[in-house]
Amino acid sequence: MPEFIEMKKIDKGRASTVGTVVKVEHLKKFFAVRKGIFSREVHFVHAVDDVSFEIKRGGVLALVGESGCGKTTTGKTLVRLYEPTGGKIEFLNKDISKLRTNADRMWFHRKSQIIFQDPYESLNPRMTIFDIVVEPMSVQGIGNIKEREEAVADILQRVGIAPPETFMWRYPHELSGGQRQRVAIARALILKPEFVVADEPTSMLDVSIRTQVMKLMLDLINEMDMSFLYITHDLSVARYMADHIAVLYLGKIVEMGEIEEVLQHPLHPYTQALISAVPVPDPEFQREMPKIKGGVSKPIDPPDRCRFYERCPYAMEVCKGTCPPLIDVGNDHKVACYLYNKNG
Amino acid sequence: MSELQTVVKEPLWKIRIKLAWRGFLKNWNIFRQSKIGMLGLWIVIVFAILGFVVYPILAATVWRSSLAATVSYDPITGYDFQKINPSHPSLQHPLGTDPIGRDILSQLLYSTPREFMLGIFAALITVFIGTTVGTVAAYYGGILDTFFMRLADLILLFPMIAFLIVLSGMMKINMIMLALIIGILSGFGGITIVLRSQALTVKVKPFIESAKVSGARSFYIVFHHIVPNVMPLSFLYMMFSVTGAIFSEAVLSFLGLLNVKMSWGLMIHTSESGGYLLGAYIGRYWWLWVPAGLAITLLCGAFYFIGRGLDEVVNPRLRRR
Repeated sequence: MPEFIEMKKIDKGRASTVGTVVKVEHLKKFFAVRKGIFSREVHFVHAVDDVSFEIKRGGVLALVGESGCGKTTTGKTLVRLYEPTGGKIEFLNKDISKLRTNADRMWFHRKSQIIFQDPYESLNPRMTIFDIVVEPMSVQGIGNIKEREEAVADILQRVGIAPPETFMWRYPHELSGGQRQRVAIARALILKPEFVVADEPTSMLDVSIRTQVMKLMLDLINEMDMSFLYITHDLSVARYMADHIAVLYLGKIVEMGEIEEVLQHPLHPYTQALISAVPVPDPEFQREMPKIKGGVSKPIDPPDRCRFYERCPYAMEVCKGTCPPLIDVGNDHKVACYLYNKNG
Repeated sequence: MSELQTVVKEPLWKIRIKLAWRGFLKNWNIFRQSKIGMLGLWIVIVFAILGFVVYPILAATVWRSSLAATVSYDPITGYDFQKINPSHPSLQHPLGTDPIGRDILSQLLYSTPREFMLGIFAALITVFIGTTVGTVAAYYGGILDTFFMRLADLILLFPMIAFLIVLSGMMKINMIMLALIIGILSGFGGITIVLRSQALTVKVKPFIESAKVSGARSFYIVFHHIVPNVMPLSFLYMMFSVTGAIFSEAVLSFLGLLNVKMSWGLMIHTSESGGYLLGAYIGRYWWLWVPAGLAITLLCGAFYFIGRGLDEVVNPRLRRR
């Protein structure tokens, strides 16, 4: 696929501008669960456990991992749908983990947005497309009626819902899945946010529409100079969309770095297993049996050791002790594994 | 960008009216398929025409009373000196007269608009309270939720008629007050439980989270997202509460506990307290209780039938394909 590669190269030029938009330090999000009705004992699901990363202006960070590893929780915590249990989220050099005043709150919500996975559930069925798309403006009290109409028409045209006047007054159920997701994107981008969390926005779409929507998002990211946190479980999607990648396993980042670097030279055993599971379009292809064993364990009150310990083929004595820290192995490539921590 | 200036050619309110009309037509087409719903609607329409149109015309023309006349058709102060009252249905009195000579048909028609008003006023209050309380309880949860749900349980178990009887002993209750009492009491009752459960399913939808990420306040979310999504169901419950209100009124005025001049229940009360409904008399003086009884049954049934028809609009699973 030569065109594919070339297009990627053009798109990858964008992250050159410096300046960090989102900086996450030691983010933690625990959920309390109770075992049994009468038990007073409280357990915690460590959905996100000590996660740190940063997203540069115009950059796209892909957050990959299997179901239940805390990808969505991370995303929702970043847009303040969840209160973080611990850690710090810095947005444009401002700590937003505790937004005190109403003005601060509105300021943050004006500049951050989220796109959900399921376009059938993320649009209010009782509202017209116009009302859905204009909602962020009306909630924030921006513009008069005339300006709002123009903004909606403009953004709908940009996401490829054209001509806008024929779609504006329809209801979500009158649109196809791809069109709905475009509307959801339009809704998220109408205020020209600086930071968008995209929670598997293409995984519910048909394969034929998926690339169109991804291309649209890439174009809009370039045009509007936004930062994206792109949550996905699909490595090929991540490679297409993102410039950096973070691999999450049971609430911890096991490996992160520049996307080509990580995908070409995966270091962590889990990343290696993930990459070896990517389907290959060749019927004759004989897959190497993955070296890892067992299934994902539950992140309820996990012991302080490498989360991957039970499944790791290279498990050592040191892995049982404490959680391996993220170590820079050069090229901005970080991995949390004692295999690469020779001197530690 | 210049063509975008003219994208919206019509003013917003015009478009919104058109949209509402289109939505109405769509739902109407579904409602029309339901035979029982249409039957209810027709009965209600007939009653409405009789009460709001036919009675004022009759009262102003045929039934105009003068001081010299030996017959008065006034529903409250009427009399008929030419007949032995109560008299059989005849040409002069199509449904006969009551024990003190008042025309039954005139009483029946006079009461119709009042029954309508009572039913709809009470139902509006019920739905307003039920929707607000149900959605707010669902959205905020916690103590608020527990409090209103236990209150609803209490009211469900509450003997409403008995309570109203006691209340009527303590104060004079007229139609408007009755509507208020019934409306408020049933507003905190079963309807809140139903609407709360519906609101709970809406509350977890991603579009609520989208609104939150845009900075929407809880108040905005409840009234812009949750209420419109439970509205069809509360409208359905409105129909059922109309039935309940009319029925309660009939019971109370039958017992003679309401401070009203005339109502269907009171018509039966008059003949009952005159001793005309005892033993074998109930068959002989049938015209004293059949018209009013039938009217109560039909109107209550009609609103219930409309509710059943609306059920098919609200609940797509009930529709036949």
